[in-house]
Amino acid sequence: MYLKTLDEAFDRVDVKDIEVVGISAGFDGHQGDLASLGLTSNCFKEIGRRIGTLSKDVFGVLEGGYSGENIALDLHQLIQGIEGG
Amino acid sequence: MERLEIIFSEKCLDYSYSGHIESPERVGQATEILKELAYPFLEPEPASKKDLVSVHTPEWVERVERGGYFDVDTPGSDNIYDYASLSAGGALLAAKVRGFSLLRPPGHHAGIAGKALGAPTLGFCYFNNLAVAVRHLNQRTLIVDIDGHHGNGTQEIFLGDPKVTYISLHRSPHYPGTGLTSERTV
Repeated sequence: MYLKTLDEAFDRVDVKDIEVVGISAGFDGHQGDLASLGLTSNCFKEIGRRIGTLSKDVFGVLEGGYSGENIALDLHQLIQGIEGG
Repeated sequence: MERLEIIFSEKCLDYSYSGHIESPERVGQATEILKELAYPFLEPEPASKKDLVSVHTPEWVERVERGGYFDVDTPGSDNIYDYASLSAGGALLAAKVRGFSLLRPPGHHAGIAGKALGAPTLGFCYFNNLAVAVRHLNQRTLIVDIDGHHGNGTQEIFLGDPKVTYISLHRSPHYPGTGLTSERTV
């Protein structure tokens, strides 16, 4: 559901018109966190993959996410996804 | 493959609020794990006033500089400006090297003059770090906000900006009560 919504959002973006992607990287949608959307670390990898397929420069900043372990592992998966891993 | 750089400074661990979930430990623990995963780390400089006022009103920048108490979610401190401007500087460096800033405080609830779009609080944020970086880059930017909360500050700042597209996927209805349906302009 989350990834489907992300795909729909990306479908509405004119990729040709984008030079860079900035990620507001909150990880509190992780299962059990403050704004849980039931996401797992693997979901963040899938989010990364979708961002990676845009083939643009990417940078990011941390927003929420209240478990240090989840922040690290989710970010690692997100980056791996972006880099096509 | 070369590992993407993580932007971080130990200084951002120096402020905390008793019992607050936006704690130094969350970021401290995350950086330890990322170091074990062999990510390289870079130290940022604080953002300049010029960069801060490219997003926020001068009055808001002065308000944060004065410090003190802000609200129940976002208690502030006498020297919160030092941390908030360094976190914005982390975003600027992340944008420059195409890396990732792990500095705190976070930013996406901070709007042009503080609380954004009628939100009840600042939601742990003082300056909108990502917005400061996006303005500085001055490139056509897609912002993907994957925080579980709506980035009401970021939306307020960039709504109507033809260079910036903002996507936020978040839990709703939930704090901050904004971002219920798509809003688009231009």
